[in-house]
Amino acid sequence: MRKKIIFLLFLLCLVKLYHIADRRMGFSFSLLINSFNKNAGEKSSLGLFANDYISIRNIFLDKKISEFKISEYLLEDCPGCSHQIVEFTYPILFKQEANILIASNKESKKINCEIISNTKLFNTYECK
Amino acid sequence: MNANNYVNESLIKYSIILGFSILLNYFLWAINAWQLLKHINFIFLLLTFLFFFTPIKFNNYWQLKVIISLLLIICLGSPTTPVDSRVLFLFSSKILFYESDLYFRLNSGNESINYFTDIVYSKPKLAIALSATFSQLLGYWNEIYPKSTSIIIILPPIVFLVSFFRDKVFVLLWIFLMLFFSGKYFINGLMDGIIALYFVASILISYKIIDSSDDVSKLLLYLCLFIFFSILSLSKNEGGVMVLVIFLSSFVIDILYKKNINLKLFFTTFIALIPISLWKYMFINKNIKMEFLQSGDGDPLNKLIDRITDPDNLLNIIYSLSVNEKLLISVFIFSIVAYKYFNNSRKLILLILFNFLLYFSALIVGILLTPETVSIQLEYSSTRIFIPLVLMFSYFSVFLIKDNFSSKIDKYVSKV
Repeated sequence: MRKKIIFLLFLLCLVKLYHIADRRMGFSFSLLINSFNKNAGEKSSLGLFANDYISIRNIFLDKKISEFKISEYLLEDCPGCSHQIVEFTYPILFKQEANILIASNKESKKINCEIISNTKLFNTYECK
Repeated sequence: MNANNYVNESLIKYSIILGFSILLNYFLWAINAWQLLKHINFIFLLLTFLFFFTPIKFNNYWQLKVIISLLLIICLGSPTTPVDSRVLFLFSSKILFYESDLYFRLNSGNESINYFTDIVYSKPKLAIALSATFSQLLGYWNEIYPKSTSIIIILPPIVFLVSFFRDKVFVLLWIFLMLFFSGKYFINGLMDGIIALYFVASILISYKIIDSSDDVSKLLLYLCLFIFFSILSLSKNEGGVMVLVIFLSSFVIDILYKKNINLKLFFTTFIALIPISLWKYMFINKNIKMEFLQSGDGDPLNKLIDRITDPDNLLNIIYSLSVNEKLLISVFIFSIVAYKYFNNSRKLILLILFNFLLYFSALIVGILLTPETVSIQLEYSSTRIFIPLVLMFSYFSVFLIKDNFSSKIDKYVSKV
């Protein structure tokens, strides 16, 4: 009887772990296998706009950009996006006096700035 | 030793060694030690962690080994999506990884750092420092593996808590309740699950200190309490409050039962709170706003009075408590067990109730002082902030059953 109780409780623990993995945490085997790879889990962790953030980071790296700023509109309109850009592109620094600007593509074209890349949601400008 | 007083001392010693290494990692960051020293300590920590899973020792706990291993696997195979775990844990850890300086905010006027509110930067950094050391050892950063250090941090309290159960049924019952109520909080990068476990373990230690008459075993318990209190206070702001709650509850029980003050407990608490006090002092000294009390407009006392006298806020709080099924279930289980065993375990039940009342009051005051509106704060955090109380009720329900069940067996054996 005691052994059966132990087995049942252990089974319940395993079922709960399965529930946590499958329903609560979005577990995937491919992520597990690649969990120690560079850049692993970026798309799944960054949510809906992951491709945009990854493109911005890649442009920064390709063009060896070390600082950028974010438009006032984007900072107010989508603080969550601004947070994620700052956080994801770190150690590339967010500085409001930088000449690289990230703006929403809803915004009108920036004067004295040239678009160097655009994603579905954001434009990256190099400003004079 | 009767079954009632059963304790697996080797598990407690293991828990102390692992906990000490976690604390040492933070200490090495705090004194800006050479990276080599941090790496050596981390390798020792990792080997100590892995030792638990080898067949050399603790073979009676193979189910626990399997469950912890599975938690680690789930952690490594899951994306880091919650906003709070990304900003408070992952991003803070990423900054430490690149800057290699625990005091980066204090030493820098960097706008990139200023972009996030200082509430983020002034958070205690123990868990973050461990994750940063791991990343520095590997030499690169990604979005997944840094949060896996949470599993190392939760092992000392889990091991400590099961060390008082001889019967596997109780071990597994407690592990199931722990997973049922808060499983995801141990691995999603939030600190709530971690501090909940340290909270429960620290209450158990303080109870054992109050209850035990053996000075040798007490020394081990004081050492463990010091490590757990330090880790608790250095993991999250609520941790410091928990330390004070546990100390005050134990103080009251000591006064009630022994009519004296436990100076050793006072001294242990005082020493354990020094690192977090220094950390907070540095931010206050630089006039950096960092807490609920310092943010927002007006006097916090007026804010508290305004909000507490507003029936809408009180209704919101009562509603959020009434739909918090985890809290309700755990309170229900504990009430039944406490009612049944009150005469045999009065001291322990009173200690739990004091801890509950003090920490619950602190949470309500915290909710009322939030810079957001009360309803927004409740929407974001009403479930997870009560996890420490939920785990406390769950663990001590099992503990009370074990204590009283074992007493019956002892009586039966002595009669035979």
